[in-house]
Amino acid sequence: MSEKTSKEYFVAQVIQYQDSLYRMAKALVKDEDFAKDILQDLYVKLWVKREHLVGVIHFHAYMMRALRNLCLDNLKKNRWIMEDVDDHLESGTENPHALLERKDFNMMISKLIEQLPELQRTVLHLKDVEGLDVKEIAYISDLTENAVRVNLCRARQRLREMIQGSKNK
Amino acid sequence: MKIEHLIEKYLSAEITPDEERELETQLALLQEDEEFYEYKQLFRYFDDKKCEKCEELPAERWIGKLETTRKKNRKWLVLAGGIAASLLLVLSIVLNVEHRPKLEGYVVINGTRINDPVLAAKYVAECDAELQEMMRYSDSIIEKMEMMIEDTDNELSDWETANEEE
Repeated sequence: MSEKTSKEYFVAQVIQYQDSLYRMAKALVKDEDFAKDILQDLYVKLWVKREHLVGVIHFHAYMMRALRNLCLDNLKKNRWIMEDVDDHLESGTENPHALLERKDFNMMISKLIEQLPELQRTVLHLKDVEGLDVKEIAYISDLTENAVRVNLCRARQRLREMIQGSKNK
Repeated sequence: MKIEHLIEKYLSAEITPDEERELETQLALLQEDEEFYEYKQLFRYFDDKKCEKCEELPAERWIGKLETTRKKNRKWLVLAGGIAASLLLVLSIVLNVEHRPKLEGYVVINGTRINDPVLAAKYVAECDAELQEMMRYSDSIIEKMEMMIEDTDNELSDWETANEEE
């Protein structure tokens, strides 16, 4: 067995992107446990065909693309609805009132983002949370670079409208 | 660059990474009651999301699954191989029983297989009679030929005697 198909190499490759993959899965399926299950499925699938992965240059982008496809497949099978709760915020230097307000705002934003079409949500997540460039997002989402920019623009505009709308309420 | 202009560029997805950093810096300075404060909150939301970690999925949990997958695959192979071998064995036994030649005596006479001993004896007797007839016929031919040879010899000796006298 070559070094690149060994379990140790595979695990090392996967672990370094685990958090990013998890965030992406969670953003798409909107459920923590479901996202973890999908992540495990992804690892097993990639492990089974690890010999074909040796030639993959951008492993992160490749995994993100595979993950997106897996999430979409799973969503087609089970129509999951979730309540997104952000409990990962740390108190830091903020006072309890500010922290609560921040949690409320985050929850509201999460819900607003969930209302975006899947493609816009994916593009927005990959750009603003994962910080990927347009080229990588285009590969992951199977779009042209121009289409990525258009979807990103629409997602941000729509999000702004929704934030303003909910504040006016 | 003014914050309004940076936000406009951000919304139209035309902002550069440097401009985005500048926007974040300017937003960080905003107070709660100021204009564009919601963008500060939005960027903070994205920052919080970036910090989100997958802590409850330790590597050991899914590495174990990888091992099981490999073992499962092997188990499947062994199981499939076992089933195939058993089927082959059963099939060969069934076919062998169906097509096994019966352990009874038989003779083939003129290309016909005969299992019945009485019929076979009758055929053998008929053949024997034919053979005897053929032998008798050939004996009579041989006898006639010998007589012809003897006659020829006599005629030849007569002819030789006559020649000597002349």
